[in-house]
Amino acid sequence: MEIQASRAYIEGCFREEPASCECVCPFHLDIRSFLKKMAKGRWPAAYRDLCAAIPFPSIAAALCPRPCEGRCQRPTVGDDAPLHMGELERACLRFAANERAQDFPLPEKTQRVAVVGAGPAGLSCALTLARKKYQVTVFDKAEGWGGHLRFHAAFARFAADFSKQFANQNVAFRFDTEAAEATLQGFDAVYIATGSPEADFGLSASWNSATLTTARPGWFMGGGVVGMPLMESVAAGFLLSQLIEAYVQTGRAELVVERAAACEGHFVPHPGVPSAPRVVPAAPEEGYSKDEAKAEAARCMQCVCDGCMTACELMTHYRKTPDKLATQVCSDSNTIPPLSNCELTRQTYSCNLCGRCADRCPEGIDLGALFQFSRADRWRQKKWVPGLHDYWLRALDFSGGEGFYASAAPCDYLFFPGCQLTANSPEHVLNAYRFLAEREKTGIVLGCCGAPAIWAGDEDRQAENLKKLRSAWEAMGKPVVVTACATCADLLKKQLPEAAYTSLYEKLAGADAPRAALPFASAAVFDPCAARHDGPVHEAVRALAQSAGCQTESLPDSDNCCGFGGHIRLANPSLYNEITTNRAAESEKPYLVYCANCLEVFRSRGKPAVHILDAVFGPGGEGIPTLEEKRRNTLRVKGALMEQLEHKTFAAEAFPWDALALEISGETRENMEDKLITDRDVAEAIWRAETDGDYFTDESGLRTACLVRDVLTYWVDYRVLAAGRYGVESAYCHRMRIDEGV
Amino acid sequence: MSEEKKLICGRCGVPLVMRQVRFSYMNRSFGHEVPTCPKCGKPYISRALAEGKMAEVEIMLEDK
Repeated sequence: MEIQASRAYIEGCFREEPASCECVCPFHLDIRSFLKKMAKGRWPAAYRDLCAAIPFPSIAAALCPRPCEGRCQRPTVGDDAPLHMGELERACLRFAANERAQDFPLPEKTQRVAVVGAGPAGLSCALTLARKKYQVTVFDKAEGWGGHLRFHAAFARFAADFSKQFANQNVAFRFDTEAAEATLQGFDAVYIATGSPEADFGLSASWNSATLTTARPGWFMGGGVVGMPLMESVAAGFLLSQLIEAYVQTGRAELVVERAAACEGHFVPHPGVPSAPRVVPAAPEEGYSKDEAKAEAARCMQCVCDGCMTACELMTHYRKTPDKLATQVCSDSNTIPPLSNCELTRQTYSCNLCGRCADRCPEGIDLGALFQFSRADRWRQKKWVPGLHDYWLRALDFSGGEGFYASAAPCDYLFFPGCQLTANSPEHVLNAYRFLAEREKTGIVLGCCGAPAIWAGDEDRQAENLKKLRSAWEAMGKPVVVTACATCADLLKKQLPEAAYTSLYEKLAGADAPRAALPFASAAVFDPCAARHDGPVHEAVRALAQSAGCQTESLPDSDNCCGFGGHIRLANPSLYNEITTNRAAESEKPYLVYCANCLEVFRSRGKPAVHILDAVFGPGGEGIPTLEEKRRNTLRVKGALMEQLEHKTFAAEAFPWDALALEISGETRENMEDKLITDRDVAEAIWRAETDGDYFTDESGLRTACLVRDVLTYWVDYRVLAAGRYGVESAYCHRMRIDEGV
Repeated sequence: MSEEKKLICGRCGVPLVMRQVRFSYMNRSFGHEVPTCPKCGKPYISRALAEGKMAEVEIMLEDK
């Protein structure tokens, strides 16, 4: 995979760019870092931040026009004034007055650089080069340093700063000296920073404002001589030092690290940040006290876009930025197992793929789409983990195989109840179909939208499933599809965009549908994540509840996934538990849902929840059907439809082990459902073991059977109770293969 | 069922013995001692092993 392929999914993400204040700072000072330290009273550390970006902080503190304040995001919160950077910088200089200037123990270099002009531009370049231990000589025809600042009221302070910064540097200052052409020829590089266009050595015309070079190799120019404003002149000195270093080292005046393109930065949302007025110093002529400075700096919101980073449990748990995720999707794709390892596998298969991050991203970036891209890539490369999706893929094969049913007659509407509603609430499906068919020419398809294949990244299965759905839809005359599950609606719209869609709930709310009392007088509606942007279905469900006498309220945080999405349950059981527990606790009230998966998730957490179809067709059952009951429910609906529509009797495929009577105790049952081990797998294991005598047994008569399937290996501990009757004591499975003896 | 229990192979009628068995997962292969029928070579995996050590190794290899 090329890095561009994964980065395309995060195009527009500006999380890694500097804050908006820093973007416009002439020195690109890391203002967030500086203010964070100021807020903690870490004056020396804050001072070091200033010095790292600004050669002479006292000049900036006094004279910078502070474009940063114009791009401060504080005013977006309650009309607050921007951070008072000037006062804060001055306060820092006072509190850290005893700090020594920066110096690094580097070896002396032999290259000689001449700086013509001891104004702010020349001095900042001279200082930076001197810190790198180049041999620097500064010429100025005036009797001392400072250039035009010599006439400023605060010059004494600036001069003190110059003295402090140059204190440990070995720079030769030639004041009262006009730099002669002949003298300068002896240097390896020359920086013209005379501050005056009259003293430009005839090079102004050839000056390149982008590269700061002149027609004369090794001669550079910047500052007032070429019309730069003061702060830019000081900042240019820093840049020039890098260019000059590159030139004397390599002979080419090119920056090793390119300058960041000029930008204004992005504003980000600041939900929940309280308004905070600017701190005014009690003694204005003295400036901030330490406490005042801390309080003012603490108003900095440390602006960074974290819409996706805080969108869900997955992102907060792994704390990987979109930039890192895109990089790792690519690097994982390019690993060669077992020689190199993947880093993002668990997180890739732990995403609910619900799109909440995209909703919270100012640029609409969907990290779920990035994970989905990675899942498909892993599947194609056979780097996926089949065991994490095996149960659902087998369920898909069943829904598209023995459980599949499509009515034959052409129709205007096609009811697509979805495999989960059919498996969980068969009566609701039959009732809803009856209701629809009585009013309009409506056909039905029992099948799967393809979610298990899509979420596993299994493109072959997805294509095969879609082919089946498409041909049924075409055979019926391309009717409008009526969905009962938001995930089906979402995924079908993406896979079969040429069809028109509506939801069962809109159909029911707009018609003379019956109403049945719900067990609660009021409930919180848990909107499924896939219906997040489906306003009409939100309204229809609330209207249905209302007319059944149930007051509804929406959840404060209403676009979360219940935890089922993306089939993360086996990939990350602890995260799944955390998410589902959190969702169940979002309201004290019982939940009203309209997705069979949400219903199952909440009931499994002990949260009282009912399906909205209960408000139309009466109670659709309590609790959660077992995996085996779900299979039978689907076949029962299919049988009923065949009888009703074709007057045919449906005969389910029979296997010898279907005849076995299994007694499964409560705890064993719970464990089987949790591990997604079906009664049929258990029965087949026992039948095969008993038929061939191929089991292990202990002194107590407990037997252990083994069943090896493509992906999982199942083991069952059981006792023979009577002929054909078995007591199952435990069932377990593993994903690892046993290479011999089985 | 603990591995200390005396298990007998239903097919061969002999007690199991500890023996090195090859396992593979996620492109990697390794050996581990488990109770095995000395006659037909069929290994036995207890629930404790499957849901403990094996599950741990599975997760470790999946994460690679």
